[in-house]
Amino acid sequence: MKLIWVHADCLHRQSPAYLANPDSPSLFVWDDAELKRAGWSMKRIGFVYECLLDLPVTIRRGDPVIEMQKFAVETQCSSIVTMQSVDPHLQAQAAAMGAETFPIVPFVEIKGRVDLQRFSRYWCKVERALIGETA
Amino acid sequence: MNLRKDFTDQADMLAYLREQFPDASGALSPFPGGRAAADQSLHSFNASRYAASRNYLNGTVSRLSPYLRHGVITLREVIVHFAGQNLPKFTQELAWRDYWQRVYAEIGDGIWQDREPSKTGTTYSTEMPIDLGHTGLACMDGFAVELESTGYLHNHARMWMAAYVVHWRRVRWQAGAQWFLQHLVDGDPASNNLSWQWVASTFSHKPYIFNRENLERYTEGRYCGTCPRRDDCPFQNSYENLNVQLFPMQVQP
Repeated sequence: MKLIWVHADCLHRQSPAYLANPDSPSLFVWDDAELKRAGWSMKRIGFVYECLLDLPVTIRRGDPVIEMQKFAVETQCSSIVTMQSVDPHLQAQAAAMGAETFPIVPFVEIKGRVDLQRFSRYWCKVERALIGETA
Repeated sequence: MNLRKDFTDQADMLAYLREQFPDASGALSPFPGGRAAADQSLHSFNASRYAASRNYLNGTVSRLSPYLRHGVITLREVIVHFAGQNLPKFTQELAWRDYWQRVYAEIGDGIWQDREPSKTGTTYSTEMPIDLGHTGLACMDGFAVELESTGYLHNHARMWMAAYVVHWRRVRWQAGAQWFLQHLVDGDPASNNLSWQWVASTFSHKPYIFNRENLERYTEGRYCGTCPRRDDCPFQNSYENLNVQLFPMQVQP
């Protein structure tokens, strides 16, 4: 069985990680070192905590990599899956866990490389598809 | 040890969180977490009013950003919800968030570095002013208090606040960005930092500034009438004069 790592970039009950593993246990770990570095106020912590109450997830605190490894042993899971994030810190933790990463469903498909130097260049690439969708 | 999930109410949860996270300041945000709350925001948003009113503090905005930030709801779900409603401005604002995420994916922690040289010619402090919230400027004090008490600011207020911190107080954008991320319930490193860089001119062609006329218009006079510094307002000037005053060392193109 696979263990799902839930992180703060994807608190979605219908995430591809949950949908592909409906019977799997899942864990969210409050990253003590990261909280101390970022200095999150109670408003932020409380909001995320309430979002977690919606999910069938166990909540712990500590080092996410260590806690996930411990929880995998406790739940007899042989591998870890998670959702893609663009946050390099979360990416490094997913890699350290050896997690299989599910891609996020893109907002808009872009063919080829897009120049991100300015929003206007990105917008030129996506405007037609997006405006067409909402027109 | 597993943390609790069985709370009788929000007060019970807050008391528990204060035990678990004693370093976290303040109380809860008025934004409730969870998918039901996200759906409530989605369904109560009158998107047809967005384009005309969004720049006013009392304008119609979606208030979906905390839920989008934490993936409680996705950009794709939001755009599908509004399919066929002809909402070009709202669609473009959703695209801004996608754009910031794509930039973050490309440059990673580079979002904390200047994307381009600053165009202001100014030297900046690395420390936040200690009098924020107590400056005597009703607008800026109001925004600072609102940020720290609710975890949310209207986007226009974020721009004014950022411009004030960077251009009037001459503080490096990174210090302001860090402050916002401590408090905003929708605090996203990409959207936040790159927007601060846009204001600072390290991710744009020129610094973003505002004047009293602009602020008074879009706040509909909420602050200026009772401001203790209404006769000594640092924003009371033309854009031309403010540019000269704020950026005396600016290299003219």
